[in-house]
Amino acid sequence: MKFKSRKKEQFFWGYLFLAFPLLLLTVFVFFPIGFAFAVSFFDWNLLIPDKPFVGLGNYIELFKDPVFIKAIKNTIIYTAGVVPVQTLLSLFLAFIMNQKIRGRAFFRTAFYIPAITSSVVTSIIFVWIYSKPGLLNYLLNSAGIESNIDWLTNPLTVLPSIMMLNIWTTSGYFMVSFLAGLQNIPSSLYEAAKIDGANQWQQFWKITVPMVRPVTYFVVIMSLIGCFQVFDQIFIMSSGGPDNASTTMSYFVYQNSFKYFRFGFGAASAAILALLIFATTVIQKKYFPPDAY
Amino acid sequence: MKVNILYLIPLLLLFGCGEKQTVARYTSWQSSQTEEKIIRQTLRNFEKKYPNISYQFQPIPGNYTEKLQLMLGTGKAPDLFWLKGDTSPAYMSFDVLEPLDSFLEQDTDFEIDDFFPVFRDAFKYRGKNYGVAKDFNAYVLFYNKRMFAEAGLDTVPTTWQELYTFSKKLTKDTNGDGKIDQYGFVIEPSIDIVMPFAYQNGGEIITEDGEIKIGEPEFIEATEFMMSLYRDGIATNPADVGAGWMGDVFSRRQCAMAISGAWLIPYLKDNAPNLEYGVVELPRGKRKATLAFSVAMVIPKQSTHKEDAWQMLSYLSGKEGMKTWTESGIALPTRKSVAEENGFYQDSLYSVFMKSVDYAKLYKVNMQERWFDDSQAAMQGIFYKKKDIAQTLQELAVTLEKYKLD
Amino acid sequence: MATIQIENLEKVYPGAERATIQKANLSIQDKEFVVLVGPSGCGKSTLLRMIAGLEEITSGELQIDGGRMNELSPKDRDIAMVFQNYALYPHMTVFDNMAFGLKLRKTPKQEIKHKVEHAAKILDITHLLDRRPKDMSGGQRQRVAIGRSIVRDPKVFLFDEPLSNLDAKLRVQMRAEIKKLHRQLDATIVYVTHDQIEAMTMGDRIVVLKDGIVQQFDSPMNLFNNPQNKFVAGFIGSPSMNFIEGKIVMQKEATFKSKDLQFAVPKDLRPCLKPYEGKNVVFGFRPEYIYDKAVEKGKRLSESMEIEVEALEPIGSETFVYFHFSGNPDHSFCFRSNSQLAYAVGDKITIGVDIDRLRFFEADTEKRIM
Repeated sequence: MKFKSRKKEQFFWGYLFLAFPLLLLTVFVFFPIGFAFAVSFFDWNLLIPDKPFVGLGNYIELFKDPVFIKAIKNTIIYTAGVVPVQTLLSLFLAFIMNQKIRGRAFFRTAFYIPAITSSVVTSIIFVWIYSKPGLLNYLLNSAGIESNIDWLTNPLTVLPSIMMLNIWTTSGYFMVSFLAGLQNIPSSLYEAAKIDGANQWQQFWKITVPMVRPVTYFVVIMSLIGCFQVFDQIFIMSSGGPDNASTTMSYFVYQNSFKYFRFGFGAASAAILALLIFATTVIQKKYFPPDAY
Repeated sequence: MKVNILYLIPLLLLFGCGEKQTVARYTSWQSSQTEEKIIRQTLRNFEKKYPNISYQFQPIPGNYTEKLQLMLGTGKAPDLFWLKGDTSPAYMSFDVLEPLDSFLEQDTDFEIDDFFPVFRDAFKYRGKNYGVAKDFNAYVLFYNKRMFAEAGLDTVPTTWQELYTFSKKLTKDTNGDGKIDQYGFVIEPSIDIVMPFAYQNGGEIITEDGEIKIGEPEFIEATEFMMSLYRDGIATNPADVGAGWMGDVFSRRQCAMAISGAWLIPYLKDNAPNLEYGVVELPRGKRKATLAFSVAMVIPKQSTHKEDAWQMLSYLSGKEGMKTWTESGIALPTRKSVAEENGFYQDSLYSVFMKSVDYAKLYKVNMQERWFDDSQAAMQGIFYKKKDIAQTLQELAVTLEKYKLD
Repeated sequence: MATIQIENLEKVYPGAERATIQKANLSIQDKEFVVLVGPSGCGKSTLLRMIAGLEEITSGELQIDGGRMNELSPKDRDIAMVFQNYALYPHMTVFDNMAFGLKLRKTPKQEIKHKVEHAAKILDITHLLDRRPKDMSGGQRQRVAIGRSIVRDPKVFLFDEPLSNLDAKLRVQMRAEIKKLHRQLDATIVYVTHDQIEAMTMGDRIVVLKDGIVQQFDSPMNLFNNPQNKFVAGFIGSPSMNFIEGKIVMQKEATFKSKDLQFAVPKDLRPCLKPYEGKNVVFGFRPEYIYDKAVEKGKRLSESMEIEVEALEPIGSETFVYFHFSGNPDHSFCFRSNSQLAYAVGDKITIGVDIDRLRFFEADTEKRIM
C-alpha cells in the first residue's frame, strides 16, 4: 500500500490496530452504559411493549423510596468501613511478607487464596461460619466471649459480618499489589532509618507508607469501586435482609430490574450508583493524588 | 494484502449462530432429582400417547424468575412453562400470556370442572383463564407423636389457645443442662406464615376490590399472636438453632410442631426416617383457613407452537398426567377425580391436605412483585428489631398502595 | 575516645563456600581516617556493614571505644553512615531528612534546629533546607547525606563508597571536602572505596582486602613502597606495578631468568634471593622507577634492558609508554616517562630499573621476598 506520507502510514496502522478493541469496547461497554442511562428515563418493563417516557420520574421516585435511601446508607457505611481497613491490612500483610521470616512462601499463598476463590464459594462457607452453631461462635465462646447469635439474621451484625468477609477476601489480592510496590523501596532507606534509630513500627509508618503511595492510590480506588458495587455476598448470604439492613445499591438495582421487572427504575438507581463512584474517584484524585516521590 | 481464510472463521461463527426453533419447548424449574425423574416419566408417557408431537424439555436450573423474564422480554420464551401462583398476577397484568379459554372449550377431554373450584379459577384474570393449576400444596400442622406422648398429650391443638398451651407444655429442657432443647413450635418471620393466621382471624392483605387491609386490627392481632409464641419462648426460629428452614427444625427433633406443606413428607423420609409424626389441619382462629400454593402451566402469547403446547398441557394436567405426577406424593392433585381414585382421601397424611382444600385461600396477591420483599422486610423488622407491630403493619399498608395491580 | 577494635572477625553466609570475611584483625585509632579498599567482592562493604550493625557478625569481636558491639543494634552503636546511593528519605525535605534521627530520639525542637543548621552551614547547604531530594543534584544530595550523619554527632562515621555515583571532577572536589570535614569534625572515619587513588589520597591508613582477607593494613606510603604481597603491590599505584614470572638460576651469579628477559640480580639483593635458587619467583617493578638509560644519569640502575615501544599515552605532565622486552613481544609493560622525551611507536630504548625499587615475590604464596 502506498501512503502519502510516513505520518499517514503510521496513523493508518495505528487506527487499524485500534479498530477491533475499540469496536469491542463500544459494543460491550460504551453502548450499554449509554443505553442503560437512556433507559433510566423511561418506564421500561421488559414484558410490556409500551415503554413511556417519564423524564426524571424514576429519579424522583428513587429518592422517595425508603429502601433506596437505606441502600445508599448501607453502601456508604460498607465502603467507608471496608476500604481503609482493607488497605491498611493488605499493606501491613505485605510488609510482613516482605521480611525474611520462616514459612514466608506458605503465608503468602495462604493469604492470597481467598482472593482467587470464587466469591460464591466463600460466601456459602461463611454462611455456615456465621450461623448460630457455626465456627465463629465456637471460637468466640472458646476464647471466653459469650456469643450466641446468628450473625446474618441480626440487623446490627449482618452488614459488619459481610464487611469482615470482604476484608478477609480481598486483602490478599491487594497484598500482592503492595508487595510489588515494596520491592521498589531501596533497602538502604530502611538501613538508614535503622541507623537513625527507627524500630519496625516506625519504619513502617515513616518509610513504607509514604513510599508506596502510588500503589496505595491504586488499591484505594480499586477497593472503593469494588465496595460500591458489592453484590455477590449480599445476594447469597443475606438477600439484603433482615429488613433491608444489608441491602446495597447494586442489590437494589438487581432486585428492581430483575425481580420487579422495572428496568427503567433499576437503571436510574444504577445511574446514581455510577455517579457516586465517579464523584468519589474524582475527589480522591484531586485531594490524594498518586504522586510518587 | 492477502486475507487469510482462517481470519474469517470467527466471523462465521458469530453470524452463523441463529437457530431456528422447530419444536415446542417446555420449561420448569429444577428443585430435586426426584421431581425431575417424575417429570421425565410423565413426559415419556406423553410421547407414547402422542408420538407425532415433537418437543424439547429444557428445565432452568436456577434464578427461574429472572431467566424467564429475560426470555419473555427477548422473544425467546418457551412455549409452555411453569408459573407460580404468587408471581402470576404480574404476568397476567402484563398481558404476556395466552388466554386458554378457546382451547378449554374445544378440548372436550379436559373436563375443567373436574378441578376443585379454588384451583379451577386460580389463574383467571379479568374473566379470562390463563393457566391451569397442575398441582397444589397447603399448609398443615405436623406434630411429633413421641413428644406429644411424653408430654401426656393425647389430642392435637385445634384452636389458637390450644396451640399456645400445647406449645408451652412441649417446650422443655430434655437433658437437664439448663438450656431448652425442645420447643413446642417453630416460626419464621415470613409473610406466608402469618397469612393463614391472619385469614383465620378474618384479616386480609388485599381484598378482591383492591383494598389493602394489612394494617387492620385483624391482621395485627394475628401477627401479635404469632410473635407471642416466639417472645414467650415456646416457639423457636430456624436461625436460632442453626437450621435452614422450619421443616429442618422439625426433622431435627428440635420442635414438637411445625407448619409446612406436603414437601416436608419426602424430606422427612430422607432425613429423619424414624421420626413418628402426624399431620392435622391447622388450628383454627375465628374460622378455619390455610394457605394453598399452586403452580400452573401457561403458554406465552409469543409462542409459535400453541397447539402443541396445549396438547402437552392437556395431557400433563389431564387425569393421566396428574396421576403420574402426584402419585409419588411430591404435590397434591387439583382434580377431584384423581384425588379420589388414587386414595388421597384414605391416606392418613394426605387426607388432611385434601380436607384443607375446602377452606384454603390461594397464595396469590394482586400486587406487583415488590409487595413480597417489602412485606418480608416488615416481618423481619418486627421479628429482629422488635418494631411495634401495629405501627409497622400500618406503614406497610401505605407502602403497598403503590404496588396494586388493576 | 572512638577506637575500633576488630578481633578475629568473621562473616559466613549460610550455605556459602567460603567466608565473606575471614578472621579480620584491625585496630583503628581514635580520630583516624581508615579506608577499606579492594576489588569487587572483596568484602569491604560487608566489613563496614558489620561495624555498622547492618550485618550480623558470625564470630569474633567488634569493639567501639572499648565496648563490645556484636549484639547491639545500629542505633545503639553511636555510629552514622553515608550510603552510596545517599538513601535520603524522598518524601521529606532536607531539613526533615537531617532531623529524622533526632526526632526519633525525642530531641527538643530547638536543639534539632540548632544542630541541623550548624551541619548545613558546614556543608554549605543551608539554602537547600526546604528542598526535596528529587529537586537536587547528586552532589547536593551527597552533602545532605553527610549532613544527616554529622547531625547525629556520632563516635564513628562510616562511608560506603559515597562518591561512586558522582562525576570525576565532582569526585575530586568532594574528596578534598571530606578530608577537610575529617579535620573539622575531629572524628573517627571508616571509608569504603574501590578506587585506590581515592584510598591513597584520603586515608591515614588503608586496609587492602581481597576475597575477604585483610592483605595489609598500613599507611599509604608504606603500602606503596613496602607491599607485603603481590596483590597489594599490584593494586596500589596507577599504572600498576609490572610483573614478570621467572626463575632464579645460578649462572655466573644469581640471575633472574624469564621469557621476557634475564638479568643478573644486583649484589645487594643476592643474599635474600639465594634461598630461592631454582625456584619460581615474580619480579616486580613500578612504572615510576623505570628510566631511559640514555637520559637518566643520576640513579643507581640495574643492568640494561632492551625494550621496544608499543604505544604511547601522553597525559600532559607525563607520558605512559607501553612496551615489551625485545625478547618477548607478547607481554606488555608500562613505564612513566618525562613528557618532554618524544618517543615514537617502534622505538628501541635501553632502560634500567632503580635498584632500590626492585621487588621480588614468591610465585606460589605471592608473599614479598624483598
